This record gives sequence, C-alpha cells and structure tokens, in this order.
Amino acid sequence: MNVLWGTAALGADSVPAVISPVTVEPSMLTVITHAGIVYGIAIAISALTAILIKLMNVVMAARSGNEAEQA
Amino acid sequence: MNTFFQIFQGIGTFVDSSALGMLARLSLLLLGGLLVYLGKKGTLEPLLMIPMGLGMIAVNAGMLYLDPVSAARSERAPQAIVSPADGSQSPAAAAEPARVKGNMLVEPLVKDNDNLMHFMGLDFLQPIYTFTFSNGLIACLVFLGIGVLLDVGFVLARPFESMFLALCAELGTIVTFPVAVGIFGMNYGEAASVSMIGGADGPMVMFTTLKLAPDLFVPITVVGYLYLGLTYGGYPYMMKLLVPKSIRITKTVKKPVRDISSGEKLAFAVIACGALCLLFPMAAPLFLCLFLGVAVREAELTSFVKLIDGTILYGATLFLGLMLGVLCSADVIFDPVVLKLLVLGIFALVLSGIGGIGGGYILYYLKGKKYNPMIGIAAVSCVPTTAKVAQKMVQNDAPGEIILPEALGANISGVITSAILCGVYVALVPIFQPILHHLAK
Repeated sequence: MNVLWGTAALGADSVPAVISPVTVEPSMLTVITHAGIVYGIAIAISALTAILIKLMNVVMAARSGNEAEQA
Repeated sequence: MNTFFQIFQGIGTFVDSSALGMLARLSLLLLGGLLVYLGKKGTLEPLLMIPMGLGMIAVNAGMLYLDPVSAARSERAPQAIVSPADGSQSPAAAAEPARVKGNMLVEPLVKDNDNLMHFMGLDFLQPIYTFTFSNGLIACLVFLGIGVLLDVGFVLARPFESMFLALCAELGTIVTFPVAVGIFGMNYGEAASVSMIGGADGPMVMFTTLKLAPDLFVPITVVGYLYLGLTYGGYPYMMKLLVPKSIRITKTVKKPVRDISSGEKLAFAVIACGALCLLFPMAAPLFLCLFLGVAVREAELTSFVKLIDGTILYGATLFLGLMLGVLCSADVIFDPVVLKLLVLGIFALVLSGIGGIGGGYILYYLKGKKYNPMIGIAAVSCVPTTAKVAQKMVQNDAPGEIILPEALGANISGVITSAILCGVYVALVPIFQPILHHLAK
C-alpha cells in the first residue's frame, strides 16, 4: 500500500485514484442514503423519547387520580 | 523606519503583510468592532459578542514577530525546525531565525507536547484553550449551564408536538451533510461537523468537530458561533418572509396541561440520560452534562444551581466568547476552507429555520388553523434565544398572545434532538467511512 501511495505522490498517471483515502468520492446516492440512515435513527430515538414521556404522563396521571380517589 | 516598525510591531507586521493580508486584518478589526456595537445594541447576543469582538480586535491588532525560539516551535512557522525528541534547533535555523508573525494570546495550531508546554508559559489564554477548548470541556460546561436553565416540564406537557417540531427544525443538520460531501467535496467527518451548525447549538458543534474533524476545529467553531449570534437578529426577518401577517396573528388554542412535578422531571432526566448514554457512549459527556444540569435543578439543590447558573455558565460563556475572538486571527481564519464553511453554515441555519417553520405550518393545518406556525422557529434549539424570538415576534403582531410555553417545549426538544443527532453522527461516521473505502475498492 505504501508503495502505491508513494507512486501516487510521484504523480504517476497510471495509478488509480482510489488508492488514497482522500480521493474516495462516494456517489451522491450513497451519501444521501447515509444521511437518511442518520435521520432515520434520530427520528426513531426522538419518537421513542416522546412515547416514553407520554407513558410517564399516563402513569403519573393514573397515580395522582388514585391518590385523589383515596383521599 | 525599520527601528520604528521593530518597536511598534503591530504596525510593523501590518506593513510587512501582503495586500490581501492587510485587508484580512483590517476587515477582522472592523468586524470585531461591529460585533461589539451590535452586541451593545442588542441585535446580537451581547454576552458572547462583546468579548468575542474585543478578542478579535486584540488578536488582529496585537500581532508581532515571535522570538526565534517561539517562532521555531509555532505551527505558523514555514517549516518545523525543532526536533520533537530533544527540542534542539537545527544549526541552519539557529543561524537564521525565521521572522514568524504571531501573538501573545494563543497558539491554537500547536500540537506537539513540547511546543505546547512552551506556549503554555508564554500565551496567557493557551491553558484555557488547551485544557477547556481542545478537549470539549467548555462545551460540556456550557451544556451543564443550559441544563440548569431548562424546564423539561414544557416538553413533558406536550411531548409529540415538541419533538415533531424539533425534528423538522433539524432539516439543515441533515440536508447540509450530503451537500457538503457531494458538492463541496468534504469528507464525512467534516461534513457532519459543519452540518451540526444547523442544530444551532454551539457546544454540539464544538463537540462533533472535536470528535470527527479536529483539524477544522477552529474555523468550524468560529463560523458556527458567528452564525449562532445571527439567529437572534436574522430569524425575525425569515419569519416575516415565510409567514404572512394573517397567519402570524393566529391564536394558539391552549389545552389544559397537568402540573408536572419535579420528581417526574428528575425521573425523566435520569432515564433519558441513561438511555442516551447507552445508545451513544461517544456523546456521553454531553448527555451527562445536560441532564446533570436538569437533575440539579429538579432536585432543588439550590447551592449547585447558583454555582452552575451563575459562576460556571457565565464564566464559561465569557471565556468562550473571548477565546472565539482571539482564534479569529487573520492567518488562522483566512483559510480557503473557511469560505466553504461560511456558505454551508448559513445554508444549514437557514434550512433549519425553514424546517422549523414548515413543521409549524404542518401543525397549523393539522390543528385546524388553531396553532401559530411561528412557534416552529423555536425548535431550532439555540436555547432560549429562538423561543424568545418567537414570543417577541408573535407579541408584535398579536399583543397579549402568549406562546412561550409551546415555544420552550419545542426549544428544549430541539436541544435533545440536536444532542441525539450529534450522537448519531459521532457514532455512525466512523462506521460509514470504512464502508466507503470498501465500496471504492
């Protein structure tokens, strides 16, 4: 690998561009897919957080209802 | 004349610059003055902008020629002439010391430990930069302070509505990522870091950049904070542009909300902190600090609240502003990549604003036109600025209308979703990168 990098540094035209990490250019579709995955996970976790809060609300409302009834 | 310039090195280094260098220093001096003025006037956030503006003026006016030893150790030097192993100078360098321009405030680019120790003893802000900036501590301290200010009861009262708006207001954080990679040719780490500007949370931008693009830490943080200051002054115009007055005066129908006890809020902080740290250990420092602030507030630890809300938050904000200002020296900030960051940063913030208002519009129609879409801008999480902006704008058009509870709910949810996105980026980018290399092969 080092030899290939060295060759690329010397400017040899025959060396394919993909040998250096810097020159890796993902397709737009791949990048959009990755952004979609990021957003998908963020949406899922945010939705779970909201559901968790709602559940907490329901439980707490039921508990305070019971307490009021007992009083 | 040379003696004059040697004595007054601020002027000497100015005259000794290229025309572009002179222009850059002059523009940053003027920009510093403008930030102080706009901060005093209240157009931009004064707590941040006044120290930042002054720092910017000081660093660009106070440029000097570094002494030969410092010049050799500075990353500003044209070539490294100190051996990292023993710290000795090469004979050539000793014979002809380089005239390297620098300042007595901070050397942000120094990485080698020996050189770092040298500047620790020389530049008065170097310890602050090294021990609080470059490891993300200041971001966490600001986040701790934000946590103390947050009343999560506003989110607990209307979780779905608030989280929905917050996710819409992350539009810039998501869309900027493919744009930065595909159009601006950035790598994934840099793209994710600059995208976080769309979340409008300074600490999150700093944290993501430190983890994913440490080489761009200085420019991304500076650009990010410069733009965050603009949310205060710029978003009102965007709101007026996107929401016609007939809709701006919409009265939001208030549902009766149950009182949320401090015990419930504390329980939420504990569960959310544990769950998010479990999912994203890389962003655990941010989650811990945010929810520690919330927990301290809800547990009514008044001594801690006073310490964090007063001393820690204001101390961190002062040094944050000052440090951001002194990092804006012409030679550090005028990097070709900064132009890309300036474009992408404003792109991210504008898109997030549009996303937030778009989310507000969706709720406006879903709730039978009984919801003010202006609340959506508050979901761009710049706490509590955007919530205040939303309330102020609604107040102007519909005096007496109070949307602050809904706005704060969206605002606080914005912080949570930004932290989640920061965690997702920090966790996923290192996974995506090898996949790209594999695909490229």
